Amino acid sequence: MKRLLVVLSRVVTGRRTTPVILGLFLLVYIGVAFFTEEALVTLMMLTRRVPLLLALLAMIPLNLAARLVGDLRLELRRGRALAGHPSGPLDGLFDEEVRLAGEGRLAELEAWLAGAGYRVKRGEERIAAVRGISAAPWRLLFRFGQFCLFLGILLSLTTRAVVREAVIEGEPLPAVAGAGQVQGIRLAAEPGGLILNKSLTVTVAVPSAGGGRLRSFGLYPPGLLNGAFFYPRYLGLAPLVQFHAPDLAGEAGSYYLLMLYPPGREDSATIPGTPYRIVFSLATSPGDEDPFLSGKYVLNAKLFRGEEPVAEGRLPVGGALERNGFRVAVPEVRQLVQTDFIRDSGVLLIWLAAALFAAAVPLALLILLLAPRREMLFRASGQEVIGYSRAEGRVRRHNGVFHEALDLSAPH
Amino acid sequence: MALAVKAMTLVLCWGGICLGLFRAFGGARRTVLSGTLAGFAGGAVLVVALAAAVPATALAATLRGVLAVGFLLLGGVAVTHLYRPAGATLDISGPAAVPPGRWPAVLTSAAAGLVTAAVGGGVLGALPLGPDRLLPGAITLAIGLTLPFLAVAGERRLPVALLLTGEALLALVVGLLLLLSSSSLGLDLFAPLSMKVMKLIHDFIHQFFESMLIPDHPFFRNDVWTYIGYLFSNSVGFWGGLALWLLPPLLLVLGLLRKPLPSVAHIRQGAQRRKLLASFLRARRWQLVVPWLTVLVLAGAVYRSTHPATEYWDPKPVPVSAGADGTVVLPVKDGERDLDDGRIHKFALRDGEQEARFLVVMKPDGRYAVALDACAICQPEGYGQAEGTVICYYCKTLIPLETVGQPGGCNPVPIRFTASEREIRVARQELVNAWVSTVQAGARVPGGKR
Repeated sequence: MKRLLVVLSRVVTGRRTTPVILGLFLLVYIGVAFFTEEALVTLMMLTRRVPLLLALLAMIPLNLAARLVGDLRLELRRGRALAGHPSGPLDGLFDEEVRLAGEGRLAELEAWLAGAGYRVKRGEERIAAVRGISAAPWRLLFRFGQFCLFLGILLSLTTRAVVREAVIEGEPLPAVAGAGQVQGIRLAAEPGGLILNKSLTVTVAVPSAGGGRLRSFGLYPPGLLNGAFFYPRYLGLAPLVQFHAPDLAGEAGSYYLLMLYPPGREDSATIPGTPYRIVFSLATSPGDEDPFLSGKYVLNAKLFRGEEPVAEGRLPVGGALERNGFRVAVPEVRQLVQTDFIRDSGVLLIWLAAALFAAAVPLALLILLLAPRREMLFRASGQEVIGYSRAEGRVRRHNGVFHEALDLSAPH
Repeated sequence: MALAVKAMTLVLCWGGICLGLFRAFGGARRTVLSGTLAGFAGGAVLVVALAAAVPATALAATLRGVLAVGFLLLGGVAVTHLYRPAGATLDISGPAAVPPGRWPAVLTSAAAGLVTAAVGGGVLGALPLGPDRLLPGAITLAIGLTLPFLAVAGERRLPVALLLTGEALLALVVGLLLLLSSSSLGLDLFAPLSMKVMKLIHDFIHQFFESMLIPDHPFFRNDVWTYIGYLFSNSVGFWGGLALWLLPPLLLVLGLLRKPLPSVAHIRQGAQRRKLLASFLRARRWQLVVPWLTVLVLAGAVYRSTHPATEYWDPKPVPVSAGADGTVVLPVKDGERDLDDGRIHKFALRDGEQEARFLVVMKPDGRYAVALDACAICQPEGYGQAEGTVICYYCKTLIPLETVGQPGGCNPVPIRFTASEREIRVARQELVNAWVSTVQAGARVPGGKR
C-alpha cells in the first residue's frame, strides 16, 4: 500500500505526467481519426463518457497543481538559502554542487565576484552572489495559467450545458433565462472596432428588488443572465406571415422564426396543415446598407407546393406578394437573436489562463533574453568549500565565472 | 525515366539505411549483413505473396500503416529523449553508440530490410505483381541484395566521430523509409497527414470559438476574418503537417542541445576544463549530424509528396444544360467522347451564378458512376484519375475507382442517375441541390469550403 502511494505520488508530481497524458490523448485522437472525420468532437464525447479518459484528463490539473506547489517551495527554499537564512539540505536547489578542499578566502572572493558584476551578500562563512532578474514569478504564473487552462477544459467538458432559444423583441425571455422582457435589439456599425465591426445590444427588463431594471447584453464578452452566459449566435426576423392559396379556404397567419442573417441566407416557413412552404431571404442590392442596421427589410419570397415552385417575388415589410392567385403578406416583423444560454464553469478559468499566458510568456522571455538570473553560493566549513551554481541563461559564461571563483576560493 | 528516378531513390534510401545499421552496430558487421540480406529477401517474398493474395490498395494501406507506426514510434522516442533525466550525458566513448549485442543487431537489421523491401517494391510498382511488373521486382531485389555489401565498405570511410545512438538510428531509418514511400501515391504519408492536421486545426478553432463564446463571423471586421480564414486554408494544413512531420528529429536535436554540459568544476586546471568541455561540444556536434540529416531527408519526402511524378487524367469540364423537363442528358458516345472508356469525364452545369461540376465514369466492374467533382469534406478542387484510382486534389487521398459512386469520406459525392445503352440522365435539381448542400453549405462557417 505504501509502495502504491509512493508510485502515485511520483505520478502526480512527475514532470513527465502531463506530456505523457497529452501524448496518450494524441494517440487516441489518431485512432479515432481512422474511423471518423469528426475526430475532435468524437474525442471530446469519448472523454466525457469514458471514466478512464476523464480520470486521465483530471490528472493533468492535479499534476500541474502539484508541480506548482513544488516549484513554489523550491523557489522559497532557494531564496532562503541565498539570503543566508538557516535552511536544510540544498539538494536539488542548484544545477551544480562542488566540494573542494580549501580555506575559502571569502574576502577575496567577495571583491572578485563584485568585480564580475554580481550582487554579493556575505555572511560569516558564506557568500551568495546573484546577477540578473529571476523569471521565477512569471514561470509560476505560467504554470498557474496551465493549471487554470486544463482545469477549465475539464470543467467545461464535464459541466457545459447549452440551451438554444430565440430572444425576440417585445417578448418575454425564454424560460431558461429566467423572468424578464426583451425591450429591444439593436445592431449598430462599429467602424473603429479593433476586431468586431458591429455591435449588438439586447436590452432586457429584468425584475429586481426595486421593481425592475434594464440590462444590456452585447457580443463580447458575453454577459451572465440567471447563471447562464448570454451567447448571441445568429440574427433573424420573426415576420407575421399571412398566406392565402387558391386551393385553401381562408387565410393562414402566424409568426415564424427565420434565421436570415447575413442577407442572402435562406430560411423557410412551412404553412402548417398545407403542402406549402415559403423560402425567405433578405433582399439587398450592391451598395445597400445592411437591413439589420437600417431597419428597412425587404424579403425575397419563393413559394413552393411540395417541391414545385409556384410563385416568387419581392416582399417589402408592410406589403404583399400576389401571383397566380397566391397571396403572401408580411404586415410586420420583429427582430430576434438566436441565443445560446450556456452554463459552463470552465470558461472563466480558460479566460484567466489566457490572461496569465499573455502576461507571463512575454515577460519571462524578455527577462531570459536580457537579464537571466545567475546565482552562486559558497559555504566555507573548516577546510572545505562547497560551491553551488545555477543559471537560467548565459550558462557558459556564468559557469566560467563559477569555475574561476572556485579556483580563487580553493586554489590548487 | 520515372522508373530510373524511383530506383535511384531506392538506392539512396536503402544504402543510407545499411550505412546507418553498420555504423550503429559497429561490432557486429557480419550479423548486420546477414540480417539485412535475410530481411530484404524475406520482405520481397512477403510482398510477392501478399500481392497475389490481397488487393493492391489493401497492401498499400497496410504498408502505410507500418510506416505510420514507425513514425509514431520515432515521435515517442524523441519525446522520451527530451524528457530523459537531466543528469544523463552524451556517450562519447567510441564508434558504436548502440550497445553491442547479437539479437538487437539481427532483429533491427532484418526489420529494416523487411520494411524497405516492402516499401521499395511498392514504390517501384511491384505491388500489383504481374508479367509486366517483373522488371521492377527484379530491380528491387538486385538493389536490395547488392547494397549491403557496398555499405560494409562505405561505412569504414565514415568519420570515426560520427556516432549513431539508438534514437538517431531509428530517426535515420524512419526518415529514409518515408522518403522512399513518398515516391508512391499509395504509400505517401505526408499528404494524408497534412489533411488530418488541417481538419484538426479547423475543428479546434471551431470548438475554440464555441467554447470561448466568440461571436460568429458576420460580426467580425473583414480583414480580421480574412486572417482567421487563413487558419483554414490549404497552406496551414501544409505548414502544420510539416511542423508535425519534422518534429521528431527536431526534438532529438533539442534533446541533445538541452543536455547539460558535464560538470568540470572539480578540475582545478582551467585548460583541462576547457579541453573537456570542447571535446564534449565536439562530440555533441557529431551527434547532431544524423538528426539534422533526418530533417533534410524528411523535407525531401515533403518535396516528393507535393511534387508527384504521376500525371493525372483530368479533362476540362464540358458545359451542359438541362432540358425543359429539368433533366441533363449525356449521350454515351458523342463525337470523340466515349463514356464507356473507363476514364473520368467531367461536366459543368450552370444554374444562375452557380456552377455544379460533376463526373461520369465507367468503373472496372462495367457499371457507371455519377458523382460531384467534389467531396463532402474538402474544398472543391476536384479529382484527377490515376491508374485504378481517382485522387482528391485537395487532400491527395486516393480513392479506388471501384468505390466511386459510394458515399462517405473523401469519395466524390454520388448523384442518382439513370443509364441506358445510349445515354445517362441526371436530374438538374438533384445536381444543384447536392452541390449547394454539400459543397457550398460550409462556405459561411469557419473552415468551410470557399
